[in-house]
Amino acid sequence: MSERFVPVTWNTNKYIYDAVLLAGVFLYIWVFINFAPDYQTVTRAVSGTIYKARAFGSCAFLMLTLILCLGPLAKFDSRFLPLMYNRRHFGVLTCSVALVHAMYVIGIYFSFNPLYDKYVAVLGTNTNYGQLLGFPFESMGVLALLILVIMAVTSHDFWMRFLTPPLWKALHMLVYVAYAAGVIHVALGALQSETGPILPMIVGVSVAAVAGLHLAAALVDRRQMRQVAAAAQEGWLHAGTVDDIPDKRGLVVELGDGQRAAVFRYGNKLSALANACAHQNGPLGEGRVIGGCVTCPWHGFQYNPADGRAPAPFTEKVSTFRIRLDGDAILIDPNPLAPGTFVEPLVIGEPA
Amino acid sequence: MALVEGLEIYFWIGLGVSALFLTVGVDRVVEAARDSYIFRVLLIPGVIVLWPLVLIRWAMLESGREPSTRQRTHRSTHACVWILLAVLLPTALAGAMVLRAQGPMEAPAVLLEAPGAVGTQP
Repeated sequence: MSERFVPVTWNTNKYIYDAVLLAGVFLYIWVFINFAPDYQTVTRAVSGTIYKARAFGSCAFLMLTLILCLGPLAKFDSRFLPLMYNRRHFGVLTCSVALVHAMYVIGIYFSFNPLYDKYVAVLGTNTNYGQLLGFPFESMGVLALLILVIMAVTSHDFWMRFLTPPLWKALHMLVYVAYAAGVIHVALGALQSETGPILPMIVGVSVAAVAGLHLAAALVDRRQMRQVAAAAQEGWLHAGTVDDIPDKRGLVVELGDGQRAAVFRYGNKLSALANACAHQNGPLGEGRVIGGCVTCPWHGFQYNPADGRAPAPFTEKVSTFRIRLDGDAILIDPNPLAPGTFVEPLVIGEPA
Repeated sequence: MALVEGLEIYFWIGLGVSALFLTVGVDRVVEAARDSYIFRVLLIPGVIVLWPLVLIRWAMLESGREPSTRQRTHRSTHACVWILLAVLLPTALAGAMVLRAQGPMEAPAVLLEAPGAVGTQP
């Protein structure tokens, strides 16, 4: 995990994951190039090279759609969690496929522009931003690609550590902007150059799936979130009761100001940590206590529940919170302690 | 062309910053990077793309100024973004379908007879 950075941490699962990804991409490209021409209702004749450009472009769009579906799916059904495990390789491959699409498009449509350099021509040939029909949809593709590149080049764990998790996460949430730009790029580009029903159906189903899953995830998240009750005493907040937390599980509580904590029960002890994993902001409260450590459901990063520190030799640490018992009720101090600060676990049944 | 020239300048500055940061800075500000060299090659594109941000973070870490340790959740942002996109994206798609060209260019093709096959012409 973190004792020293290496280029890529490989293991058998990642080899399998990447092999399946690559096989899927090659299969899609092959099928598209060989069979899509039979089903396309284009308005003008399309060459084989253009089909290759479309194969890579549509592949990148579908890959991005799948990536965006994984998060909510893993939230609803833990069987999807293994797909989250190596999602960053999925993202880097998507960026690579999108780059190939861009190179084909530039080669086909902009290489012989008499006025501009071919790269300038991508944005300089059509500047009718004031109209929808004939809108320079290439600019939306460039925006989406730029964001994918930024995400790909900052995908190494180093960047999370160097930029801090909140900034890194904010940077990577630009993927939603990339997806929106991608949809507009397709809607005002490829959708306008053919008349058949297949492409609109694929794009429509993709958008409905991504938007529907994310809205449902946000709704479920809101319902599951335990809003802490008004201050019980001296600024402490009521997080729930001991019976609310199954053994070796966590209870996520909203503390206000956009901050969340997770109270974990393990045996007859209780401890509270920040809900965001120091690795990629994974939801620690949705993980389990395995081998005495809180284990992030996304990538398996572990933390000692008493001090929020990863077991040696790893160095990640998250904030801890002070908690106390008032009868069966768990009270939590909403002010986080510095990451890695030891807090004596509460023993259930003993007075605080 | 100014855009291309600007990007070229940005690239060369980024390359210079990456050379400086990855040989000097990274050891000073990220403990886990010490004695680990091969992975730095992977960081070069990121430093070139984000070099202004890299310089700001480097300066912050050198001076010991760290942002708040509070890890705010991104979930509320996520919900707002998807409420917005759930409206925007279907609207964009529906608009694109309305705009879809349905002019004569899309009329079904008609097979024309070859001139030699027309027997009634003089």
